[in-house]
Amino acid sequence: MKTRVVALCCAFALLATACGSRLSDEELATGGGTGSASASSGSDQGSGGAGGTGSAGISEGEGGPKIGTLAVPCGKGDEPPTEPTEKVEGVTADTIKIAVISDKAGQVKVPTASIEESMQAYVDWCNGFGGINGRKLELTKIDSKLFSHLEATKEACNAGVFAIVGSGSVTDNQGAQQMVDCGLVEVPAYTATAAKGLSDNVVAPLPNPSNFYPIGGALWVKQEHPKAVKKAAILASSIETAKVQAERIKLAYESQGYEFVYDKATGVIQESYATEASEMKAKGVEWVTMVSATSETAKLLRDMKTQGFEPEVIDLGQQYYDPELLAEPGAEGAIVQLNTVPFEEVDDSPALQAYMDAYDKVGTKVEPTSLGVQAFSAGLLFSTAAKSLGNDLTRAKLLEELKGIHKWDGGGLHFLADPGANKSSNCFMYMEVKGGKFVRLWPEEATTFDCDDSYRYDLGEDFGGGATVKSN
Amino acid sequence: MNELGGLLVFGLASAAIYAVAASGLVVTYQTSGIFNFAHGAVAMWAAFVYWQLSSPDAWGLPVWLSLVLTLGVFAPAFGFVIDKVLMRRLHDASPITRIVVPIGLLVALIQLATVVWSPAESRNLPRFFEGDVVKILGVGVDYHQIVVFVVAILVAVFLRILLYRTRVGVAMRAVVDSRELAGLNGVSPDRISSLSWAVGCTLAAVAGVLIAPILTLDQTTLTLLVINAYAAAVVGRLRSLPLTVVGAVILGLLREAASRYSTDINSWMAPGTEPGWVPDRVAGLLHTLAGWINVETVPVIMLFIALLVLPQEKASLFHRQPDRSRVPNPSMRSVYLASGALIAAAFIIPSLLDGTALDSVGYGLALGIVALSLVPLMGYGGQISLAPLAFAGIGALVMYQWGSDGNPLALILVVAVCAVVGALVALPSLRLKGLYLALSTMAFALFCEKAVFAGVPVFNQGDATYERLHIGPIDTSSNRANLVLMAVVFVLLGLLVTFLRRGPFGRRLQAMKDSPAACATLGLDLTRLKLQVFALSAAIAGLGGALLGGWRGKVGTEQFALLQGALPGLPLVLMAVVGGIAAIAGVLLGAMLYSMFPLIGETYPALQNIMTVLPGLAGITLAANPDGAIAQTADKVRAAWARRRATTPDPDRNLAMELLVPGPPAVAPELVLSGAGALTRGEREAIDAELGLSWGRCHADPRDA
Repeated sequence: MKTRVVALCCAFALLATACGSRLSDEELATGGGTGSASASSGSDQGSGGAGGTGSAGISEGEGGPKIGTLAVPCGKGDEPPTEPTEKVEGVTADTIKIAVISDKAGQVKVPTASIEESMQAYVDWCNGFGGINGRKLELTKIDSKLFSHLEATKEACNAGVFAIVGSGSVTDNQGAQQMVDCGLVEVPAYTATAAKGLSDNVVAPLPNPSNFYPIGGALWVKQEHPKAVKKAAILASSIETAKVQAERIKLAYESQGYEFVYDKATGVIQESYATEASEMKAKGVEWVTMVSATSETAKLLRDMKTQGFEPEVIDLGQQYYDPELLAEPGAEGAIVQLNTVPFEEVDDSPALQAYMDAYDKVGTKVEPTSLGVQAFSAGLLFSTAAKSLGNDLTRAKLLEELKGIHKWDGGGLHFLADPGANKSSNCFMYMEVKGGKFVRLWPEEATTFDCDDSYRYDLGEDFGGGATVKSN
Repeated sequence: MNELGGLLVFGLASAAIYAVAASGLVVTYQTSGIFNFAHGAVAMWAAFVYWQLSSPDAWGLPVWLSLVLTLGVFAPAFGFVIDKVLMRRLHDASPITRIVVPIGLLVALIQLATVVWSPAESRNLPRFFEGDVVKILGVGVDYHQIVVFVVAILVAVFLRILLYRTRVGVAMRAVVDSRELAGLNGVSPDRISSLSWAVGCTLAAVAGVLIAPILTLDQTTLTLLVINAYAAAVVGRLRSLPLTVVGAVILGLLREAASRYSTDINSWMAPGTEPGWVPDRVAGLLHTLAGWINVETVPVIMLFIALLVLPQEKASLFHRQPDRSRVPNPSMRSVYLASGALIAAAFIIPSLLDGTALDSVGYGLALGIVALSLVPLMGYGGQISLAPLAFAGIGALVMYQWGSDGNPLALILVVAVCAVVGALVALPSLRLKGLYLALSTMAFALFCEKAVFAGVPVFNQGDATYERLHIGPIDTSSNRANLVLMAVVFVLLGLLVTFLRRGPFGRRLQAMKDSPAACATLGLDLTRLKLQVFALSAAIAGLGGALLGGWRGKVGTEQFALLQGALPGLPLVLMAVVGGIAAIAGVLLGAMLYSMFPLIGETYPALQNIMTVLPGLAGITLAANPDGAIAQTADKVRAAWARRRATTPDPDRNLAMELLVPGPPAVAPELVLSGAGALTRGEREAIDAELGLSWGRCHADPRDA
């Protein structure tokens, strides 16, 4: 039902842990190949026109065009594409069929809204360079309609596609086993649940394994507001995904010295949060987070303002990087974690320019979102692995190639992650709501993230584990 | 801070919201005799129209002008149109039709709104006096809430004066009590009815414009809030405005209390904290029960209790409309033929279809079994239930607990548990009928969704996994075998229902539908009969749910929700009634169509929007054809055959028009005025035939134009 969906949507955003890193110069220098590019700011900002596509954000470097710091994985290829020697599902001499599954239809605004459009943008963009080694990408779009992820996955299994790329659904636990069972490989934009996040045959550009939690943000906030974190409050809507997410946050944050004095399961949709606000005020809460829909959180912030409750820190997850939050006056001063380079910094990020340019060409009314950027990155990740396989393109080889990629930032679209090892994020960045806008808070330098290996926290629990390949 | 003060102020603030929403509901019922399930949807539309007019992101008109246009033009016009097109036809319709048509409107309005205003965009309605706050009893209250409070009082006063102190108001109430008498006294029932709906929709619009800025402006939130307000309206027995306001205050305070104390309540009797003298099992049960109480379930529980405790309005006894719906009685030969054909089709279809299409067929067949549960209950017995999918969900839950490995013995447990739950639900509902029964089953369905299903995490996440049945040596794990299995189950249940219908049980059910009072006079034990048919119906639905789990492999709350989710329950009831609630083939058709609509939309994207709106629109058409599609089609086919056989075929007749134009009105105004309204359709037709009248000659029938 809708209300539950709203909460699910919220939950996922917190799941996607914000991690970013300030890349060292060394890391910056190792761009190319498997795409260990860093979010460098503007030094090689392209003027467009590369690859004959007239795309913004593309620069001509040694060995071909680059998107940000990443060699464009699309092009004619060294050798002409051939028909696969053995039949490979979805691959022919001149095409590779891929599918994207995301939540589109429904009665609620979903954060996955721009995923399908972003994948369309990616496919058009990549085909503009000549496809992968000369094979054009063909995109099958499947709507998981919030509750029909199982049906959507079955459809992908029957659609004769080579892989699922750039996908993202709120209830992605439902079809997780189905995807593994029918032998597909998936490069999702994001994973929401343990079943998908820890699944076999899945390599995500920004992994979110549910047995870990990134605590970079927690540590930074604690350092900035040492007293506030001793009076922490967490609100989560009463749906399973949100409850699990809240539990993960509590486990991870309590290990870092946060003390939760207020822990509340709210209704999925409430007409007012005045009670919660006044209860928190009475308990002297100074740090607040919430796992729910943006609209619900906006109501909480408004009611907090009405009740004159002004905690020191309002700490929010990635799903709240949403213009809807800015419309709420009570959101002023709230801080929001983010995985991808914020849209506010598009002028400093050639990769983001390339994305925006490609997205504009799709001609959709749906606004681009942070998850859309992640879908674009998934497309790049898939293409990079597929490209290096040349004509030897099989699902098993693709998976092996993907697992070998340990440094990935999509050419500077987001922080540096380790997709191959499915490692939890060790980076974060914060935006702050200031004067009705999102403004970078930390780290201060544009397009950078704060990264450290100590920012990964092992929760010691896998929340049900992922889908696995049946051994027989 | 003063805790009691907070409870009071916040409770009253939300009570004001419910009062505004519920008073519109009560007024519509009082002045039209129809419980407008779509009240919340009308409110939602008004809120969107107001946004469209006033928002700087849309047309950006000044606020005062937008308010005038929304409340003064859009809402009355909307009420006028739905009265003209739909509601006016319902004044003498059967209880089922009177309930299903507004539900159809509800579903259609929600879906239409998602087509017009894409949910992908976020929209924001500012509050009145944005940001201004005043302190009352130590807690902050913003001006908008005070505006809502004041409007709630003004609306109550205005309505009281309108209904009891003005001629128009008295006429409004008179038309509901007796259209004919009111007409004889010089009131135009049609004009008054339009006026009533215009007032009702304007009140809905007031609620929408006031509440949307507090909630989120989207298609379902507001609609659902008004469903919560049903509890307040029922406290007012759908008649009394002061009592409705009292109900709203109770509801507001209860919700506020639940919001404050639900954490404590939910941990009551938790393992390890229960007192030693309480046996573990009892403590466990009490803990589960306590866990079901939260801010979401309180309105539903209150609705259920209010329905049970408060006396029913007596008026309904005198105001009973004859149920004109027919119960088809096909020959056994055609029943056996159809059964064979269904099983054969189930065998062949997997060779013709695959993937999503095949999935939808199986889903539709399982839903068909669920819908079949309505045939004895609603079709024969005239007992309205909006909860078939909730019973199916309980069946699926039982199957998950004991038979997820495909053990067919678990089905026995499914039948047993569902039958018991069905009887338990029937027990308090025994004294209810018609609308009140519909509301109590709706409360039950919502309760299942928000408490029972939500209480089982795996089920709530949609992660309950099922293997398909292994019946001894027969393995039904292939699609074909599973589809045939479901077809066989459907046929067996269909035969069971058919035999019951032909036996004494069926006759008793029909007698109860025709006249409960007469049955009781003749010494029929209605209590037992109601319990039996509820138990039977719930057991059938439970089987359907268990089989759905096996077919889909995984199910959860989303598959068994009332109004939201994959294929929600309310539209399923709608489609079953559209197919023909008294015909086994009818409910199967309804369920199949329901499951196939989205598929058609996917295959032909141009039709996608139409397909989402279709179930609702189909429900609305019942205003013209209360017997459902199968009966109607059969009539048309029969009529066409008869004409074929007639000696002189009329070259001017247009067959397509015949099929599209609704049939003649069931009650002609002149017949009503001459007192013939009490005749059943069959009697009237017999008279017409004797007199040699045809509708075409006697009345202005569009088909003869």
